[in-house]
Amino acid sequence: MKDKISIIIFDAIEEFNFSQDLENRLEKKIEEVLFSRSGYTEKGKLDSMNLVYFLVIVEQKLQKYMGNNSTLRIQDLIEKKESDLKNIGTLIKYIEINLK
Amino acid sequence: MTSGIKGVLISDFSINNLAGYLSNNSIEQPVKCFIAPFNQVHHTLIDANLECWKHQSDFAVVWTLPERILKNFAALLNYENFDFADLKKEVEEFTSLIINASSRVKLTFVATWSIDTTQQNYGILTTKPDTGIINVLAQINLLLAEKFWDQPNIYLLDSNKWNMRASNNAYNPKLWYLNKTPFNNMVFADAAKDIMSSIKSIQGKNKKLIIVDLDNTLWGGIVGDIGYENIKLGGHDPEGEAYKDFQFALKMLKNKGVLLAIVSKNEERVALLAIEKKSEMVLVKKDFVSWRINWEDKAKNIVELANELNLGLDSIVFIDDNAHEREWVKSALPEIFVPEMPSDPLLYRQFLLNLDCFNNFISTKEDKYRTKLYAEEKQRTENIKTISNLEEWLKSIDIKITIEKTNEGNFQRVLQLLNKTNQLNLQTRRFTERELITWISSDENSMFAFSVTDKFGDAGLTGIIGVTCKDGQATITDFVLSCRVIGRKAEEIMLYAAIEHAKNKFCKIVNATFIATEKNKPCYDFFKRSGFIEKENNFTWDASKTYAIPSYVTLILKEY
Repeated sequence: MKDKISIIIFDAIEEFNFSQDLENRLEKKIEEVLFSRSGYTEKGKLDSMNLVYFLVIVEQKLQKYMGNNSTLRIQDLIEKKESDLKNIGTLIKYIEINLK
Repeated sequence: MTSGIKGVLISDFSINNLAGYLSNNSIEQPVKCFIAPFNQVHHTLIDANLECWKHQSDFAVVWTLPERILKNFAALLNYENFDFADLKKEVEEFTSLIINASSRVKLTFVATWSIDTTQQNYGILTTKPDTGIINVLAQINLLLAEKFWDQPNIYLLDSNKWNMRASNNAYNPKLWYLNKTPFNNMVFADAAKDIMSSIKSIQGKNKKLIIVDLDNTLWGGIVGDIGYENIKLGGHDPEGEAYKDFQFALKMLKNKGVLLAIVSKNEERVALLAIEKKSEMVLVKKDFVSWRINWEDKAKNIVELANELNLGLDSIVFIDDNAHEREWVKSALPEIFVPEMPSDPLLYRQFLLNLDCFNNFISTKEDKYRTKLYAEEKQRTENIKTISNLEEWLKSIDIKITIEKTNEGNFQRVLQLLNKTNQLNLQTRRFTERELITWISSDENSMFAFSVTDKFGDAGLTGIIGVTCKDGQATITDFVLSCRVIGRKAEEIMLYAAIEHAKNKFCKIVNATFIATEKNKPCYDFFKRSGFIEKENNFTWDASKTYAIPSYVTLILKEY
């Protein structure tokens, strides 16, 4: 499952990058820092608006894979602990745990 | 516009993704976008001092949602009291703001208004005049079109097309609630494609020539093997019908002003017989400006055709069903656009119509007859081969050149020629409609148009010269001539006209500064042999001297 989620997220990164300037594009790597509010020393690639774009793409791809049975809702994810969204690795972990 | 372009995006929703798609859309023309403050459309259009206007942008995009920008339309959607006259007034006020703001950029693109009709059923009354939602939407879009019709540099883009391509996935409520973005990325991607295609068309970077293969491209089967009687074209056969429709699509592009040519590995006699004799052929021999039907390398044939037609390789599209030939042409001639053709002929027409490189932003009578004009030029070239003395030949072909000032009747053609001519072009100055109007309206500036005819036919308006007369000096700012009429003495007549004009304005000197580009060396070569005195790309002529022109050319002065 983890591998499949990783593939979906990397696929989402590819689609997301088409709509972004060079400096806002995400790299396909587990350590890629997505987002950080104050407190993190590493600077995230995404502002809050782009974070939503990216997560909507992830959600759409998960729904496609799960046949609309995915219970994951990005609005919940955005409200969760910042650490879940820190980087691609933590996002994969969060989805793996919460995807039913 | 230079190789990098800048744009201002104005919207009442989050439009950041359009900026991303625009910047990723073109390698040769990077786009930098400045986004106006969110949901402050009226303020942005009124206030020229906002940050987003401070970058001397080339273009602006105004894209709004009708229910957000027009309160009467929102009322209509909610089945509240609504006054159609008030709505029209709102639209008129909005268009006035856009017209005022359009002077801050070279080009303004306005997206037509659309609503999500896939998710909501507006009922049977939706088309009822003045109250049905779809009827009203159509009317306010028509009003937009009417208001912008006579506005140079404001172009209305069809947003409904972007939504339809995305089908049921155009609108995304999640993105709206979380981000105030109504659309999925597919819509932004398509909008960016449309905007870039329009910009390229205005810059004269659209393609001018389609070179097609024959077997399994224009018709099904190998004509050399099965004979023209048995090729698949038209009739009661899905593939035959599809090949015929593909030919109709090519013919439509030809009527728009795109030239057609053939490069095919075949016996010329057999292939031409098929074109002439097969009754289902939509394209006939005279639809093709030229052809190379032989067993030679296709890349070599394409280069020969480009030379014959005086066209740059970057203005050519090559269409061939054979992937191997496509790959070879792509690698041998990287400037040529070689689109990936679908393997299924039933998709050929759709594939061709989806290519966004043939857009015209203006339409002139010369576009419709372009193939004929090239055919006449070919006849001239053939004829000249039989005559040993060029001057004698020129005397025999009855050249007539009409000179007139740029006026309402020829304005669009002058604009088109200025923006698309590369080789015989002194400074390659490109103009938007508004810039040209402004330039011409200055008392110091004059722009003359030259039309050439001879016994082979009418080449139409093919030359332009722009002259600025100031402080006793005349400066030729624009010297533009279509390659089709090079060598027919129009070049000399143009210089003669500029010098005579300078004399009438009491100028003593006529200057012309050559600005080199990758393509305009022919212009430099002409000035070099023109008799003007050269000093480091600056050419001068003493205006007290008359510029000699051949007596066998008849000059017709019209509103000169």
